[in-house]
Amino acid sequence: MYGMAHRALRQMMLDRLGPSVWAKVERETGTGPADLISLCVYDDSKTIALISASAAHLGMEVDEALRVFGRYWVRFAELSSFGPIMDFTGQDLVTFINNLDRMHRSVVLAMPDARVPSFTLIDETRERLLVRYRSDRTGLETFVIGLLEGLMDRLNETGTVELVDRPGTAIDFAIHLDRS
Amino acid sequence: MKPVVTIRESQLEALFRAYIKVDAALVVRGLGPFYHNRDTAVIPGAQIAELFSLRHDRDDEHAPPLDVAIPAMANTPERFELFCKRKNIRLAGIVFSTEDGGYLLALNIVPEDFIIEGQGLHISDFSQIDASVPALTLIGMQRALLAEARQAAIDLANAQSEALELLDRTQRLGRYIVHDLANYLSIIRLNVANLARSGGSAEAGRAAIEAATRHVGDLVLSLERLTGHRDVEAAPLPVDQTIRSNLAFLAAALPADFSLDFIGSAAQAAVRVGRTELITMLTNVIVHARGAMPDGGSITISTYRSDRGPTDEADMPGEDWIVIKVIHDGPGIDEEAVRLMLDPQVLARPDGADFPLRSVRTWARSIGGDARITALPETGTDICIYLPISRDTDEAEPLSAPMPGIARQRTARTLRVLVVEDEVHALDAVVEILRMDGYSATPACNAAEAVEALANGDFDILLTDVVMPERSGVELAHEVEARHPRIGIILMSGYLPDESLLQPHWSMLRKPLDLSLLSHALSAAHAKLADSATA
Repeated sequence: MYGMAHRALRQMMLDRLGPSVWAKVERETGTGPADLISLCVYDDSKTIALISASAAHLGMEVDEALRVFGRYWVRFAELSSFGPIMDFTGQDLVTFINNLDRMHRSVVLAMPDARVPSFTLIDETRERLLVRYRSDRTGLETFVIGLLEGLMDRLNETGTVELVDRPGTAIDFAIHLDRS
Repeated sequence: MKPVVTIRESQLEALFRAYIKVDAALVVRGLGPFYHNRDTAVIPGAQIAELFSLRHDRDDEHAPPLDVAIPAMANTPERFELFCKRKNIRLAGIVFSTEDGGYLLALNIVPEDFIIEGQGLHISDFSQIDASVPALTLIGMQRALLAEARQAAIDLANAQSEALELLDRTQRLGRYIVHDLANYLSIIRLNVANLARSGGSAEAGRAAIEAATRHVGDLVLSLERLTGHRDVEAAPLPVDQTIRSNLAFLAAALPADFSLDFIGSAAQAAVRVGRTELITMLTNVIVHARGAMPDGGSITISTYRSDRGPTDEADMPGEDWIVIKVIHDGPGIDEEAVRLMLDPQVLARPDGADFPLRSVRTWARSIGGDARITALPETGTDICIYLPISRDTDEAEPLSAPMPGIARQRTARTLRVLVVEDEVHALDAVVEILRMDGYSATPACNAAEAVEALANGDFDILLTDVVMPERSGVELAHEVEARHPRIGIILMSGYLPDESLLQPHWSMLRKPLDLSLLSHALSAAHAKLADSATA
């Protein structure tokens, strides 16, 4: 993954548990400043080790830590230099999800090693959005749930997200919106 | 004019997000989604000339008014540009006449410049085929990446500054620790001297020495934490539970055309390692497997308990191991690849990458275990990681701990051990413990003394410290093995030496010495000698 993910995780850990715990995570995983450069691509195993170590310090299972991190990631991205691109992608949940793949295509042009997922809005009602997720990475379901929760936070929506189906290699998530 | 195509409303919206339909009087009758929720006053019923002017109106007073320009440009290929009077918005497209005598202004937004910030534009404002989107996003990405690069440079500079500060603090702390150690040392010496005198109180002296050594132990722990030398806080970790709860996460290291399964049969067996260490190790194994399986496949992790160790020589009655077995059904690696992978003289693969499995083995050995890799050409690879099961929960440490004995296997003759250690008190202690347990132990204070002892007598085992002045234990081990190939080598050190300098069949013990691991290593060496004598 790109180093930006590592920077986001570091910031989340700094926010939650402070610098001494993050220093432990770095020590446990052999991580240093050279592993935190946004524009560098690192092996996924590095990211996995960092998240696993962070989960242990947070007192969470890895899946729960992934979900928390997914939610945090959206907040981190919007406050970072990439904030204007997120604004450009959309100002409401439906528009944002519909435009995510277009935005990701441009990301890949600028960052050729990025392995971006695909999100398709396959059904929409006032209170429920059905989103189909495809990725060549596996095991990140809870991270995606966190991402969608983070998007709701960002776009002033409240609700819940659940994994509802696994058609083929895709995964379907339902976003239940509190719009009564 | 006969229409070439008929276009539906939805297609019109998709192609021309900012289209406007006007009637013959140039009153707005329909409009594209671009104007929704945007304060442009472009609404049905509005007069187009009140909302827009021709783009070049700003610079050219002689530009024709819209009620002239629109009919004139209808059905021509000429580019038609409009400038919004109310907002800083520029639109461009072409004009069609419609059957009802009106006009279709087929327009799209034209960014004022290619910077996202401040324009209030969104991807949805552009048609699916509009090249402005990748242009805007790419420039936005470039600006973001430059900002990130700038931040990374600042972070690295700060990290360097912090490192220097940390070095300074560490040096200061080191001086405090030296000071404290010197104090405790003087307490120990004083009380040893008192004990040596007949008039001294043996109990008071013993208590003082015990207290001083406890404090020294605390200082060592502080130093270990300070240097990150080892995870002194690692509690016994249930292996099955840990792998199971991290399985989805481990699978995240694999592309979609892989499957990862886990069969845990080790029940509650625990090992004394950090959770991060264990998961990082497994990740390394999986990353290796992924590299060996270009067409994908299945990887299975299984665990079980075993009373047989990683090598036949290491089998110890009563010893208990947890074995983590990783098998995959890829094309596998051949024996030569395994040999290269484990040969410490080979620093890296020809493509420059490190060997992940070698680091797995190094890690396993550092905690008293080992790793065994078996090539199964064309059918896969079998990787077994042996870790000693922690029995801490069964063994409560007594308040006044007696020195644990070494559970030595009884054999026909006494094992002759040459102990090399430059710290004379540590040397005395190890020699005494070995002798109490029936070994024949000979002390040597340095490599030169060891070589001399070997010239004057026969030994079965060389047990040597690594960090010594003049000649290191590793250098000594190489020299001794060259001259006495049958001798068993056991190294002991507070630090893990460079793996590439070690022979794979040597044993490595970490200081402070764990006597059960020393027992294990000596027994293994003993068993090996017995086997070779039988053969």
